[in-house]
Amino acid sequence: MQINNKYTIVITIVFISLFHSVFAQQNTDIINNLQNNFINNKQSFVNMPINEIINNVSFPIKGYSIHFDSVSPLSLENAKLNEVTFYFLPKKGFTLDDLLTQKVNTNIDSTEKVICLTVRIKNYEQFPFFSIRYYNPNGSDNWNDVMKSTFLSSGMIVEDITLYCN
Amino acid sequence: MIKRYICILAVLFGTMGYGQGIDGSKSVTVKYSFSTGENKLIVTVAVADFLQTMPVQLYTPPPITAPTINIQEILNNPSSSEEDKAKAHEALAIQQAQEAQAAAAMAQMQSLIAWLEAQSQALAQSQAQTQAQAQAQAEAFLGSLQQVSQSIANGGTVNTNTNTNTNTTVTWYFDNDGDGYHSNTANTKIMSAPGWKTSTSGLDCDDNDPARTSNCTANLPTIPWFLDNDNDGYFAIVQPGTRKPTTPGNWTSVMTKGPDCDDTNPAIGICSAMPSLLNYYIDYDGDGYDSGTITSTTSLGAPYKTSTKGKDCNDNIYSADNSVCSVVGAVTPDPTPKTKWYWDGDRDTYVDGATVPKEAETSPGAGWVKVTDGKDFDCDDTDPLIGNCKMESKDCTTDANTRGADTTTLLNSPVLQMPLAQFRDTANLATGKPESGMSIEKLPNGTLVPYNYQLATGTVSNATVATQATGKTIVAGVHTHTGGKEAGPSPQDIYHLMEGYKGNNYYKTDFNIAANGNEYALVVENSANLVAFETAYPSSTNINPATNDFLGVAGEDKLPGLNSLKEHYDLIASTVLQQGYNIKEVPEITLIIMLDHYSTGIKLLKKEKDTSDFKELSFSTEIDAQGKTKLKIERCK
Repeated sequence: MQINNKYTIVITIVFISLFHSVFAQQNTDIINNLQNNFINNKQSFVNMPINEIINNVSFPIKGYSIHFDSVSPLSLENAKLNEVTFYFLPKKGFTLDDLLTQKVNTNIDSTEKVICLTVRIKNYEQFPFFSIRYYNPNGSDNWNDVMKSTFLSSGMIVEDITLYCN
Repeated sequence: MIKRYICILAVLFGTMGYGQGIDGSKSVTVKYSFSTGENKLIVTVAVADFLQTMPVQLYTPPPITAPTINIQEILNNPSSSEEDKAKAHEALAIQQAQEAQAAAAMAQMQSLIAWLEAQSQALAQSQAQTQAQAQAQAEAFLGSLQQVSQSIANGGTVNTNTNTNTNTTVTWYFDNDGDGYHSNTANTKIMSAPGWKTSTSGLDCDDNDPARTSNCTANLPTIPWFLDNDNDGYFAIVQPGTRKPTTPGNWTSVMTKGPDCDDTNPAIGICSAMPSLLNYYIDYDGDGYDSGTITSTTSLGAPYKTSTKGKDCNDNIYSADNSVCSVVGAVTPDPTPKTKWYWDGDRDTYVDGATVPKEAETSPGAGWVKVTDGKDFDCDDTDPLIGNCKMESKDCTTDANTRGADTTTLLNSPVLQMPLAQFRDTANLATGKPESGMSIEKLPNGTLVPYNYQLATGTVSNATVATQATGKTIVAGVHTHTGGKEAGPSPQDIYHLMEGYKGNNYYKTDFNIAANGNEYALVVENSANLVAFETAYPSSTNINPATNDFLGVAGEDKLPGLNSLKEHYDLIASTVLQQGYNIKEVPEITLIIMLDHYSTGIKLLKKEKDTSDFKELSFSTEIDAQGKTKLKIERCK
């Protein structure tokens, strides 16, 4: 019984290490791929439709979030969508229940990994805030075919690309 | 009564005087006596063969007239009619005013005699060596007395802050408007006339206007100027401006007690029923375009008009179409503004927020409509039975209802209505206009009056609302949110109230007038919670003063967890929006949730456009048919 337990522990440790290394390797691959394909090659995407990015990612997009030029809550109606961020690891999202129970700095998960590509929109004036079908600042597991086709048909033009990972 | 008191004073002080020095040096002798019949003080100054007499005419207050009605009996009788009570209050006010004037005259008399006594002693002890020196001292004293005399004859006060050292020459500064800056100087030993001081802040560029001090070319704040011709403290006309109006009359920037029923009779002030306030447009060049608005209790002639064609680009140049704005050249008027047309798919008059609106002078076609107040974004633009998601009414606690009633009463205070009317004027709430603002001061008698009034004509976008002032009880503040930011209080507004309350516990309410006609009030509900929240989340690390928004953490949206109040606020706002609430209501709904969730001790109240009462807002949650949590935004009935 004692010997079996030892074997179990060793196997578990090996499995976990393997699991972590596989995922760590995959994360590194994603980062390298995004760096080589988009950041090092940025000029070939600038002034092109956002479709060029969505259609050329080598790893699946898991989530998205959008940002606006105006940061004042008093002028939401006049805000324009000027950034889209694509997440390649699904960001942990917030439900309404989360938002009504949690407070600032009370649920930080230091192990949560983020890899994302942020696209600044050149023709942002054409995308007002109240296009609510876009609106989601969460970045959680929210990418699907509907959103993909929405962005592909949006006519958004790329102004800049940045890579973020932790 | 007053005359009898003056007689007693005359007996006491009328024979006081001083003689020549024992060692042969010359000193000035002053004697004074009171002439009862003429209400004059006769002052005689003598030194050896120099002798001069000067009469000082004292201010004579109007006699105290006995009221023709029994005031106390009417006021103490519960069955007295409202009309009788109003007459009793008016008679009481007249009687109190007369008594106040009599008391002021008595105080003036006492301070004059005290001043004379001090001057006499100083002159007697000066011990001038020659007749010429003593005579010069006597003449200097008479010069001062003459100025005092003129001041008293005009009903002014006696400046007792005089230099009695007749051997020292002092530089005196003349400050006519009392702003601390001078327009004239004099080097003399004694200078006791009103307006003369021994210190100054510098040379005054306009000594008739306390708003202008050292720099007459600087931008000045717009303040209300009150026309009070009978000088009874009640106004006939209110005109906002940076300068005292040039039209004739007794204009003052001192806040008055209210509108005057009759500005030709100082005995009549505010009526039992508030006189109607009429709005007029100022049109100096007579071209039909105005350069501002004023409020009056009586009808006015030129240059005031009851209608306008719009704002005048130059009210000194007649231009029938407002195209000539300067003598140098013409200015092309703005093109006709276009209307925004929104898509209404289900034709229920609530429009689809997801469809980009079109700008055109006329409707682009069937289904494209203008958004009218109260009927805008649709929760479901495919179902005509569903409009936008409105707040629900609920029965509230007594505390919440009381807060609503108290807040309504506070802003309905009569003396505040003139500046509030200016704030609510659509011209002053237009897009691009700076904010207006003022504080609300509570006088010792309970009257609420404006303090530090600023109308939207400056260059600063945010109004500055003082939360405290020396010697004043500031209880609330008001400011506007002009077009483009009509969404109700901002996070910065919450902190303004919190910090205001911490510095002055009387400051408990911040009002906010939005361009769309809604009005809001942030009200302190629990002071302990307020202090705890402000301590845990101070403005220095949580507010962005440039945007009035919460301050975010760089890249916080990509970081795990809730990293700042801003991130929390934005996430709640997105959830509110996704739950179908009107985009215009998202900021206030988000604020309600934040105020409650962080136990800030502050409540948000709202007075909807065209309604009369402030109602407290709150929220709760319920589980919908799909098992998901759904927000319920509620308003007290």
